[in-house]
Amino acid sequence: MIHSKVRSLLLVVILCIAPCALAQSLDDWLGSLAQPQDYRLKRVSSWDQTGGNADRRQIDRGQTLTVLEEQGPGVISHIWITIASPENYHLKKLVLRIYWDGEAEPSVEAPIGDFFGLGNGDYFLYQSLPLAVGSTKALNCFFPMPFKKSARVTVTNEGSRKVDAFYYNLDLRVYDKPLPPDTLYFHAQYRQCAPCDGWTNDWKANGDDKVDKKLNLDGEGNYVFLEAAGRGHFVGVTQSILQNQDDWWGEGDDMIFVDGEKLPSIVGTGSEDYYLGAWGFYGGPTNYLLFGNPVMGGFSAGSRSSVYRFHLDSPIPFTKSIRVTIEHGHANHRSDNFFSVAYWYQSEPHAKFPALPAVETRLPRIYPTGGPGNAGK
Amino acid sequence: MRRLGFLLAILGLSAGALAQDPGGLSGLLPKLPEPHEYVLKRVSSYDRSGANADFRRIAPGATFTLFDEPGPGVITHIWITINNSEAFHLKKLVLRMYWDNEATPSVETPIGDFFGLGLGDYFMYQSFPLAVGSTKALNCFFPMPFQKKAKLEVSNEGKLGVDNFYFNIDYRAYPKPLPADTLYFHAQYRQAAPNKGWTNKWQVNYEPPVGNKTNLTGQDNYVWLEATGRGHYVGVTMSVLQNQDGWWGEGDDMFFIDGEKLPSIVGTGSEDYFLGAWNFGEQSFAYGLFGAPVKGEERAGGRSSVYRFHLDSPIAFTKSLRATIEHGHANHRSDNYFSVAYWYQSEPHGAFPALPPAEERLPRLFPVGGPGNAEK
Repeated sequence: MIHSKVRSLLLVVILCIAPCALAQSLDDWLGSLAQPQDYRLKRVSSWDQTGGNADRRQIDRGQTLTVLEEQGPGVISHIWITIASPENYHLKKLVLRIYWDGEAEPSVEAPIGDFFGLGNGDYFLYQSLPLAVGSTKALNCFFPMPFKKSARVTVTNEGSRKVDAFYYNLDLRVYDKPLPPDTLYFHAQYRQCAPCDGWTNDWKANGDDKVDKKLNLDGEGNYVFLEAAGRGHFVGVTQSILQNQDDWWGEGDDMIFVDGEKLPSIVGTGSEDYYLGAWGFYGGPTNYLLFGNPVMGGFSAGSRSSVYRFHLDSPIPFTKSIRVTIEHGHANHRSDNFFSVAYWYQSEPHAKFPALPAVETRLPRIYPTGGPGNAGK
Repeated sequence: MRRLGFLLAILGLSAGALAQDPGGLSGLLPKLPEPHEYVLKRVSSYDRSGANADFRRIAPGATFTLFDEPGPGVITHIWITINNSEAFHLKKLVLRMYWDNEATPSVETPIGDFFGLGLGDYFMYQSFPLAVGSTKALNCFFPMPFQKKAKLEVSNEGKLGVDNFYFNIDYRAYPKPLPADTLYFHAQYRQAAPNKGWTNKWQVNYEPPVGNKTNLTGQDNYVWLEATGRGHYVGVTMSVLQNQDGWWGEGDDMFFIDGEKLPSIVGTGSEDYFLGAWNFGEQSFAYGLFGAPVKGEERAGGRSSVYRFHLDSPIAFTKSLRATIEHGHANHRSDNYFSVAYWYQSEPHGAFPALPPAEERLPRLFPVGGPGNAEK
């Protein structure tokens, strides 16, 4: 009897730590307010430790600033950052990295703007549930990020000028009990194609017979959002597009390969459909909690768009591996520029990330791809 | 295990647990497919005769009881709208809530401030716990549990009667007691009209003597909340009426947990605490967890309303909490602040500061001197 009481007490403790720590649905946020918390809230901030008003750090070119270095168990529940830099495209030139439990390779590696959904290097305001940019240039992230032993967050300035003011406030929960052993770790991976490699530039409109009749069942040549190995779940993506060609960028279908599938078990109907809009986002820009197209470009070469989707309703689980892809145009006929960050949770160790592209190649640039609206080389 | 299930069901703990459980139901709204043990009741101003006079009147000086129900229960939603020809009635009507027959209320604020409208004007915005709909529709979604009894009152401290006071309050009535450690909802109004800046001999926020001043201890900070007991702070709504030119928000937030002499949580600036940046630019915004739905001009007379809710991680305390923010850098500015802090805690709560009289709660400019202000 005592034994079973102890066991159910343990169960309460385990059940309690995990959902409290990782609660992220609105249901949890409001629903658990009347329940006592067993963590200590800690803030890691750039505040002026002398009590003065210099509440910021500076980051020299080439320098890496350690924003956070903390011992676990804990959960980072919120990140706020704002930046003053005279450098063009500093959102693409500063690189955010996060390391869990002393790992050698980071679990998060992305240009800082891309991480917050600003993939074309420009600031804009939007609100989603896990990510939001407030007025003005205020970068916010609410993805819960648990760690058992330690967490380290760094920002590296790959630009050619000093960042004058880098402000940050990170909120974390510090626990005096271990997190459940199967707690997954937050990950984010940057990818780009600049430009994507269309299989033809000899086309006039997306709807050309030549384009429409091309078949793609196995995802060959698709743009890759993420390749991961381990156990976990994919929770979403932010993507920005700079078009090299006229017409609608988003004819491509999403294809997701779970646990080594040769053919994707999850296949969609078009890029704006994957981002839960429809019809080329003709209705205009939106920014909703789970999906949006906060920046809505036109339908011509040079247009810039930013889109996002978060699968918080049902993250896509995998037990061995996942490959998340999308076509660039129908069956990959288009050659626009894509910049993306995929967000997921998984057990460590994670698979090797692709090498981060050199800073100059990350900047949004037009490429002479040929095709409609593009003169080629 | 029955009790555990009950506890989980009531407090919404099940969401994460089920999400971890491969056999469980999950999703963005994970509890929807679960059966409920409560009865949903509504306390409303609807016309009992079946006619259309679906409101109450509140005479000047009168206290009206909106809600007086036995527990165990949880108020999950409050909707109120008011038709009153009295100017600043949002500051003159006072909302009070009493849990389990306590003598002093756990909620005491002007009704507008409670819903984030701290300058007495209506505006529309949406956050997760509070929202003002079109038009003048005051909504609150903070869960408010009670074991024995809940009583909600509105007092009219204005000169005119309230012609129409409409309300609908949804609550869950449970057949069994709530878990013994369930915390109670609290909300406390504070104001500084005006804040007392340590100098009015300054031209620009950043320059000496202001820039050189230091403040590590939080001395003379504006206080959002002082609480004793066990609980957690979940956020604040604040409105500002500037008496002086320049940006009001150079002040840093400082939180003192469980009696700390020096704050363990310190921020970088007021708009940063409210999760914007750079004076909120010129653009107002209202998000689920934070916002600046009213962004005024950065000069004397400018009016702003801001909010932040720490639903991602409420700030927990086991003995006491002191939540503060500087008014200007190291408290150099003398603007007017009006705020409501929201938190949960075990009873009994610490004594609230006395509610300022109605006239003193009204937004007014004060002759404090400094930029844009002629003094006396």
